[in-house]
Amino acid sequence: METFIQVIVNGVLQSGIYMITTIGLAIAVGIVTIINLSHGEFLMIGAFIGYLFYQILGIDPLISIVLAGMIVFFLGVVTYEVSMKKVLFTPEINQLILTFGISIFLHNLAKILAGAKPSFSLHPEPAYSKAWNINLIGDAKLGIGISVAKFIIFIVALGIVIGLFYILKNTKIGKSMRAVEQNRYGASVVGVNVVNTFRIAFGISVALAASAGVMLCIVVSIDPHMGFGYTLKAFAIIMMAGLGNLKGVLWASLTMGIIESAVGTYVPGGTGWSDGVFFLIILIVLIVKPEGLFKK
Amino acid sequence: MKIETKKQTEKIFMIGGGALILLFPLLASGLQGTSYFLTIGKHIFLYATFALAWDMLARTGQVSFAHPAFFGLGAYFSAILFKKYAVMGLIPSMIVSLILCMAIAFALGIVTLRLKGLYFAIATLAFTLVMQTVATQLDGVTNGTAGITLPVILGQNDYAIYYFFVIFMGAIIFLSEYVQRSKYHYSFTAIRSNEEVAKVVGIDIVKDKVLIFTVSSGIAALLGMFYAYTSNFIDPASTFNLEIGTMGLAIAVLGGLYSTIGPIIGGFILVVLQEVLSNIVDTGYMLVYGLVIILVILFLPKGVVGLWNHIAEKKKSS
Repeated sequence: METFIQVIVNGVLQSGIYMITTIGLAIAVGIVTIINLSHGEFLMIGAFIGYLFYQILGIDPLISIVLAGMIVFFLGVVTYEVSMKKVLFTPEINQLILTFGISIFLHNLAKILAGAKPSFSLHPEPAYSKAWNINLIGDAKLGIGISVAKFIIFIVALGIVIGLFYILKNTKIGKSMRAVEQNRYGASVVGVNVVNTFRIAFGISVALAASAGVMLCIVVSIDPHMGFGYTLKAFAIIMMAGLGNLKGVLWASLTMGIIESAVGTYVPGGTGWSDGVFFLIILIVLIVKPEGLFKK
Repeated sequence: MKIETKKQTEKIFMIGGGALILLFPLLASGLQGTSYFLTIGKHIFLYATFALAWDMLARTGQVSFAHPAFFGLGAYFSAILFKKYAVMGLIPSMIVSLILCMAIAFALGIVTLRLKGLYFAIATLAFTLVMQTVATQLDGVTNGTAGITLPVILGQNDYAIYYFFVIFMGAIIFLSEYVQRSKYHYSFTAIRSNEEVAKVVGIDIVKDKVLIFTVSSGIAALLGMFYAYTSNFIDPASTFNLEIGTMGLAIAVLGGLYSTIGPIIGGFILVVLQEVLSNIVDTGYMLVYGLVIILVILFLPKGVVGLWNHIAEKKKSS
């Protein structure tokens, strides 16, 4: 029973990072209509910004979540201006190939810059990198452990999600984004600056990935190869939720986080399988119910 | 006139390139390090053929990331049957492996190719990663990361291996040209430009896509086997390798998508470039692949072949 609760807790805490990464990607796919295979590379960049700011400048990663978000927002706008913009109205295959090329480029650039060191983790660990032990029935052996850092990250992620939904619902840029998503021609007729909306939406999209990256650098060791896996996981979650279903992304992230955690715990040699299972789920969802599992 | 120039260009390439390919071993035998040059040749033909197979599917507008999976599956099915359990000879194991791979491709195609291109791309990417995980984790059958050591075919003769890959590439070039001249060329182009219109004019979209996906994946599987039996050793990292898929994609894009000659030219340029670069830098030469993909898609969407045709046309009209 304790193991089961521990599995659920770990899965839920992990899902916060999936939520903001995936909502970011969902904005790129849904609003800008860019199928961005380089999304995870921006997460990787965010992770390294968080790491470097902490190691060199001593800035707490929790603050870097905002800083990295802002830096990568501008990086995203530049990327959009010099490349993505030009393939917006070309066949899908061009978008896939271009963003895949950007992914290869960024990830190998990071690999060259990182040099021989295979992975990086914060040293010394921030003060909140410890675990609470909670005893359920007063027996010390049967407790569950909650990582404080993971808990904080989950709360911050939820805060970002709520803030984002607020922006989408109530602000001018948020309303423009929703209008463009529904009908970009109609939106431009009623005076929405579509070009500018695309630019900002793409910036927000990758900034969310970068924030998730900073969160990751607190709790796991990071490396130049980490991005692509997250691109795929984010696509997996989008497909599970159904394209264009932002709220569904939250449920799908939660489901995927818990499944991953369960496979890692219950299946022998589990951690090796858990990524594979993740992708197996994408295949199954695509085959059985390609419109997504969650109601819009 | 456009068609004439194109034909002329192709003729020049075919005759000149063909002669160079066939005579190269004779020229190289005078040089020091002959086997090094012949191995580069083998790599060029391997990757060019891989890219050509990938391009044949791309002609329908589908980006497949499953080709590395079939490359790996082809190598592993055959290696397991022939070497690990030694239940059959080399050639039968290759035939069984090819049949298995094409059956898997057929099944995967049936379920994923009725979806939009994005779904197909992600599903094939997922497929490759699942297969990679399975090959690594099922170490009882596959030896896991320890890999399988294999005998080298053709008596380890570099010349024979070189010509073997040349012949296979030639066969796939013929297949690709046959497809280009058949009714499928029109069907694929229509599907790529606009699926709805293609459907209206009576093209069975799913059937045509599944057919070419199965054939194209089968070629990747064969290449995986040839790679396995000419490299002495396979493991999951070297066969179920997304980088192979990246190279195939970059080669086809650089040379020129939707053509036979494009991937072949792209293969020559990129493999030689990679050889040169990997002598200069240790890691990250894949950076160049990324850069090539980005620049070509943005500035030269028809690739080197398109550029060549463009220049040739300008010359003629002036």
